[in-house]
Amino acid sequence: MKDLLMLSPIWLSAMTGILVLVIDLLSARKAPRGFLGYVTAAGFAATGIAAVHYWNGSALEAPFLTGMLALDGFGAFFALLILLSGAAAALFAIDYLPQHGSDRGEYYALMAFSVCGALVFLTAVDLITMFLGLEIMSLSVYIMAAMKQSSARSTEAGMKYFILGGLASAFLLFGIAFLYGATGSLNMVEIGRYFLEHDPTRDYLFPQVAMILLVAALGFKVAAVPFHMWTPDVYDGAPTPVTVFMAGAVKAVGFAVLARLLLTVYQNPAFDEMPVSIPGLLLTLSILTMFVGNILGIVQTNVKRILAYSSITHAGYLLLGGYATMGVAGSSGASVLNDGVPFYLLTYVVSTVGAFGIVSLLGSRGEEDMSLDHIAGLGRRHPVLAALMLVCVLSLAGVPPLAGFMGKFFLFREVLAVDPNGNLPWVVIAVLNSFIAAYYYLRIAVYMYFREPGREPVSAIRGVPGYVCAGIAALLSIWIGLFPARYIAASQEVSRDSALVIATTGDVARPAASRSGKR
Amino acid sequence: MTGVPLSHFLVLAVALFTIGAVGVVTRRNALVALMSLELMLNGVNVAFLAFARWRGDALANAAVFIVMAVAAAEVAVGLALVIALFRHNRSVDLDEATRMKG
Amino acid sequence: MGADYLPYVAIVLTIVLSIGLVGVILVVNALLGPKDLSGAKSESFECGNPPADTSRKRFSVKFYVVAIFFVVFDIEAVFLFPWAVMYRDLLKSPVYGSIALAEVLVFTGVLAVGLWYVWKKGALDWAFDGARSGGTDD
Repeated sequence: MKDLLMLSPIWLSAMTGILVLVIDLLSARKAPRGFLGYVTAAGFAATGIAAVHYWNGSALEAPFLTGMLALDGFGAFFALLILLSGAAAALFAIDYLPQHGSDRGEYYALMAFSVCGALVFLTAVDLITMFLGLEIMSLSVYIMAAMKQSSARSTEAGMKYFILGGLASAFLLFGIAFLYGATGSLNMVEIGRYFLEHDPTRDYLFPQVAMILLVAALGFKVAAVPFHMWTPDVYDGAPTPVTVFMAGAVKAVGFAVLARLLLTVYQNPAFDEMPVSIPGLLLTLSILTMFVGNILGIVQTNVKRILAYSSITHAGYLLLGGYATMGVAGSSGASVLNDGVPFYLLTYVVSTVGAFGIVSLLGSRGEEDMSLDHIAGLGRRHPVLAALMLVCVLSLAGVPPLAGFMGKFFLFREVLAVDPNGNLPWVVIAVLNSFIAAYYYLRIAVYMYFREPGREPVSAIRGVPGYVCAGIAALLSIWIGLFPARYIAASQEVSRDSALVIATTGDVARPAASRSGKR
Repeated sequence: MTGVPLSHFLVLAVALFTIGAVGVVTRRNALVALMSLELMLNGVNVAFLAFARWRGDALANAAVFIVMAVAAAEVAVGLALVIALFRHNRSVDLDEATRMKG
Repeated sequence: MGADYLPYVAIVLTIVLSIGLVGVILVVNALLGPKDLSGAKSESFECGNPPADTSRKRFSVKFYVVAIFFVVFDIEAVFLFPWAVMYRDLLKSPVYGSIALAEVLVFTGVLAVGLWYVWKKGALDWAFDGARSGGTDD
């Protein structure tokens, strides 16, 4: 019984999807499907409450269900990010889908299934369960991306995402196969312990190959350069509420899993002597991602694409946080996630969900060519939307005192705290990139407020749920910026639990319930 | 245990995986790309089974079942997307699906 | 040449034998068989009926939908086989027996909802233009 309660967030989200499907079947064929958005959001709210209520322990002592899942505070924090993005994506769609001629109940059901998959992916300790979660999440998103059947761009986005996403899944799976080959286990914790107890430097070929494959696969999910090719096209072509979900939930869960997987499996510090070491690889990806995302972002003229490149750039800052993992106080060898990363993800998700969500409200009757010219003069024609957009975009740019600024400030400070001298150049590069990025964010603001409306000014969808969501996102962007203490504390607590295996000083970790007798 | 050594299976697995990966990246026909994806997954399955046999452990055999089921679901979604693509372009050529330029 | 290669010898032998057999049959056929490629003999064989159409024809997209459903529902059986094999053993324990039964009921229940959904959406009636078959092109 306790098991079922602990699992409740996962089955609640799945049940939401099935319920929505059944209601959709029983409704009149021509009836509008918008109310399903509220059902979905309500289901996500229940899921979120269950997650916060039940996932409050630390999985370090007892991973759940014979080691299949880790249902802990780390999971709850990221589950909330996923659920917030999912609920926003469902609510923004209520008025978006009818306007764009694809008002179908399946959208909401797929959103719920996708969230369920993301929760499984997030909490999985068993690597095959993790793959399963990834596929449940991704397959639903592929379909949602292609949901706007009248639009060739949407179909292309779905196809492109599917092909490259399938590639990434296969990479992840092959990485898992190599970890299994090296250790004889499919359980992250057992693999981590195995590598702690056996000198991994002696025969590092399999772990090395596995690491590169895993980073590539998850790098694809979080849109890190050079695995970012799909991002602008897919974000642009997909229905915008789906983009909200991809830029918010998929990226957040990708980072969460990347952190937990690498930190748990490669906890042994000896792994830094591999030819391609994890910090080195993450740092390279981070710098590349920041520069490429920004430089390509500058030349874009489509708002959705600008935001897509912005989301790539943010992946770069986050990878810098991943590079600078921290030692646990009191024990030298162990490393946990940099505690700036969860907080940064929170600020990023809130602002980017708001920004993409507002874009979904602009545009009408199937037309969604969101070039900068289209939003010119928005400040006068739709002052409320423009103001909300301004807040979200400035927050993404990192303008004080908004959430994005606090996120960057705290992240960079914590990266410096790990190694004040060694990390200084990288932080300087990151700060420099934030200034470059400010150019294209401010460009959106300038077009909205200081340009005359073009020949075809964009019209806005009038829908209560969308406006409320956008308002909440903007409000949170301000609120978290002004009062970050609680969220930072949560972030620090979450980071402490990021690794499921902790190496004690120099030596080997042997937790009480050690199952190391396996081999 | 006599028989084929692990490395031979692994070479086969890596070869299948690489052929699949190259196919996904280079082939223009969406259906061929889909088949290449399946080839990659089957390469992984070979690796799983080879490791399982090498270790005398049934764990990875269960994994292979799940991978097979997931692959089937992936094919179903992929075929549906191919049909949708065909409706718009009258072809399944991925190079013609370039309304957006990355 | 060590014992490592023994398993391969059998494979190579099989390949050589099967290719050889096919080759022999073809050669013998070409040498001995009478050749008369006129009229109905050169048409493709469809169980005695005259061929209705070219085989390179496009099929209605509805058949693809059925094929997709077949792929999905077919492969789910993969999970039922291990369950069926293990169920007798699991029944010995009252706890695991009922859990196993409940789990498989949930599993098939979800599949049943999926089948019901597909049915209601009209994706299975390809003979008539069903309610919302979703694919009426071609």
